[in-house]
Amino acid sequence: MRELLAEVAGPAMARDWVADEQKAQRAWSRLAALGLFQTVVPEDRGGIGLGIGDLVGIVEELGRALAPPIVTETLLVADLLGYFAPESLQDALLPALGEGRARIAVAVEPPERHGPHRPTVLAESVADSWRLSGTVLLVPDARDADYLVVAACRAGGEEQTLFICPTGASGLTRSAHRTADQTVEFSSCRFDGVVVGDDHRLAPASGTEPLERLLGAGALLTGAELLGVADATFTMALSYVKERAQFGRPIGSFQAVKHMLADMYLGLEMSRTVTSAAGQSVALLSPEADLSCHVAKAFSATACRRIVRDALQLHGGIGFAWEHDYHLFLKRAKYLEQAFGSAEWHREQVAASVINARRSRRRSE
Amino acid sequence: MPRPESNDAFRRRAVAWLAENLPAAPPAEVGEAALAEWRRQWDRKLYQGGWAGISWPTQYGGQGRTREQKAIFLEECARVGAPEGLALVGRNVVGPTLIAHGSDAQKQRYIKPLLSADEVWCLGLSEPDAGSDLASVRTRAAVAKDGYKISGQKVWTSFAQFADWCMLLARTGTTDSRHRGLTLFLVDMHAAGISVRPLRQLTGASEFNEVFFDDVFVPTANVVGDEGNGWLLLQTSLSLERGPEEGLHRQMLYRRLFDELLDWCDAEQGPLGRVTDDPLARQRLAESFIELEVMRLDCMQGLRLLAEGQDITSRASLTKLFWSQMIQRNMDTAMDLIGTRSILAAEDPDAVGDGVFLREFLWSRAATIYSGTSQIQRNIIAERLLGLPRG
Repeated sequence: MRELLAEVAGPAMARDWVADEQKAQRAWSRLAALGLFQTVVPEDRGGIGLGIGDLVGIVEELGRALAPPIVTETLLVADLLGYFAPESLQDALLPALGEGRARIAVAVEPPERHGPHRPTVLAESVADSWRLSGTVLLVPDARDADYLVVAACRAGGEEQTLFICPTGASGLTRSAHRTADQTVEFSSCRFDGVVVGDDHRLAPASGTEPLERLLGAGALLTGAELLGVADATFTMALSYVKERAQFGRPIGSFQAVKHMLADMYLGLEMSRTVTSAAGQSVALLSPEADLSCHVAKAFSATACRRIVRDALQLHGGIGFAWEHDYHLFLKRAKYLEQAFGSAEWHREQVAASVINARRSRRRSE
Repeated sequence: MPRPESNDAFRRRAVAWLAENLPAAPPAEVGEAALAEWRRQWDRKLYQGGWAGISWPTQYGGQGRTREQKAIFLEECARVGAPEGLALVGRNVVGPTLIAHGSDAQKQRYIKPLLSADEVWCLGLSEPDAGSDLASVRTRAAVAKDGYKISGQKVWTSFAQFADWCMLLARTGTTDSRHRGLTLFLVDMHAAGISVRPLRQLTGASEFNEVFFDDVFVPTANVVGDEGNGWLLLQTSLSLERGPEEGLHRQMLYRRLFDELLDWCDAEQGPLGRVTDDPLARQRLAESFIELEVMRLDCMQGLRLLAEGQDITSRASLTKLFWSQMIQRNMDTAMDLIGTRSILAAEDPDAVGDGVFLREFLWSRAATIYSGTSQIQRNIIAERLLGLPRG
């Protein structure tokens, strides 16, 4: 898979994805041709039926290759559709998604710091439809998306709902942000009374709210992607220090350098262990699955941030150059760290869960 | 041969036995010798109950079960706060070394009394001038009639004051032979020429000792393996000491500490309310919990790799580097959350948790030093796992 992705994606290609829409589209088409999107389509709709938990390894490779975020987002949304979408919507979207003809971006701003999640779009009920108004900032790859998943709140209420909205819908405007990352086009998406049918609403199922699932599964996958990005920077740094010589020897022979790399490797291995375990929990529908996802993202985001930072340190001046691939990974990592909740937000979810569980135990003892 | 038993059935049996056989806590005012005897009684109970040498072959008095089941038993012991036995060193290091490398006569003579705690073991490794650089040990084993005469000094020897036997690393080669000139011996701690002096740690307790050897006679039959092979044998012993089963046991002890801290933080503290209502405190508690989870998952991964027949010796350095730093961070958090009162010791009526967090904070300062310092672990990781050149 790594070799395939190296042909289709990778830093050299990723440099042009914002500047050249065609190149991004080509990368997408080639991934679709590899059958990547068929993996997440349910078997009864002609796919392989893999769940989110099974995708962790694949998504790590996507991260390593700097694949466009919309790839992971589309895989993520396939899971959501399978769980929460009405049959008609699944029929309309899943076959196209499997063939790579439905690119779906997630237009949900992540929760900030440790606070509760607040959507920025209002949904007004109109006959058997909904009218959406509001703006979502920083939607990755919205430019290339055929559909958006958007979280909206009913006016005056706390209830949050997820909708699938075609990007061609009347009243929806996408405007490109300017960010430091030249490998991803982020857009703000403005909804001016955009009408979507009730059949495009994701309804709760088996006691789970779609938004909860989105945030948990999204955290799991972006954590895995971030791991791939961090691993790429680690590999670059490790190779570099074996080659680069100063004071008559490879700099990798100096203990300070060796110790930094050992600490980075420790962070990577532990992040991989905790992310893989979360994937398994999700795949096995374990009651601990949600907590595992929060644990995994909190730990990995913190560890990977340090790994990516230290990777630059080990390159010295050359890593700081525009022409060097390093900064592509640094900037992608910055987005992934915050996606679907920062480490701080996930830690707060862990704290709440652990404190409540302990209180329940004390009461029953 | 014991009947094969599923892990779940084994765990249920362990839980039931522990519930019935766990000793009451030792009385508070008890001397060191009495406490040691209380720990030895626990070892004897374990042996009689069939819980000693769980993963050792039955032909040597073990239970012939899997390492996974050993891990399960250790986990359940930690869960209920079972005492640390005196046979710790014997069970974790000496026994497995003898099983792997000892002569038949040595296995016949030493393993059963080790398991039953009739004989207590200590390890003679570090010296004042040989810590991280263990291969530079100077304790000399000079060839004598029918054996060797051993002279030198060992330090940081746990249990030496109670031990009947010592597994000792001594130099049989020339002064500059480093790891090639080392031999592993089984030394009778009651032999003439041995003196033991306790060492006091900053925790206040005396867990370790200095041991002086003055021309101590050791018969040839007490060489483990071959003369000059001591270093290689020791690597086996030490990697067994740091196995994932021990890690899971340790993790469960650390988890109990966390639960105790959480309970205290969740209790009403008067006008300041609960510590658990403070978002910053919640962040710290979450970090501790998350790292405990990572440690647990890492140990499970180690067990899985072992079951697949993989060599996890180098990987063990990652495990140790992680948990040693983790427990320091967790204890730092405990001290921070408890605040001013955190420095009150056990005897003080206002101490939190009977001073357990202070004790564990102090003791945790050593975690990055014992069983291989963090600096040594990083060298191992960098050189053996990442292929970086030796300095």
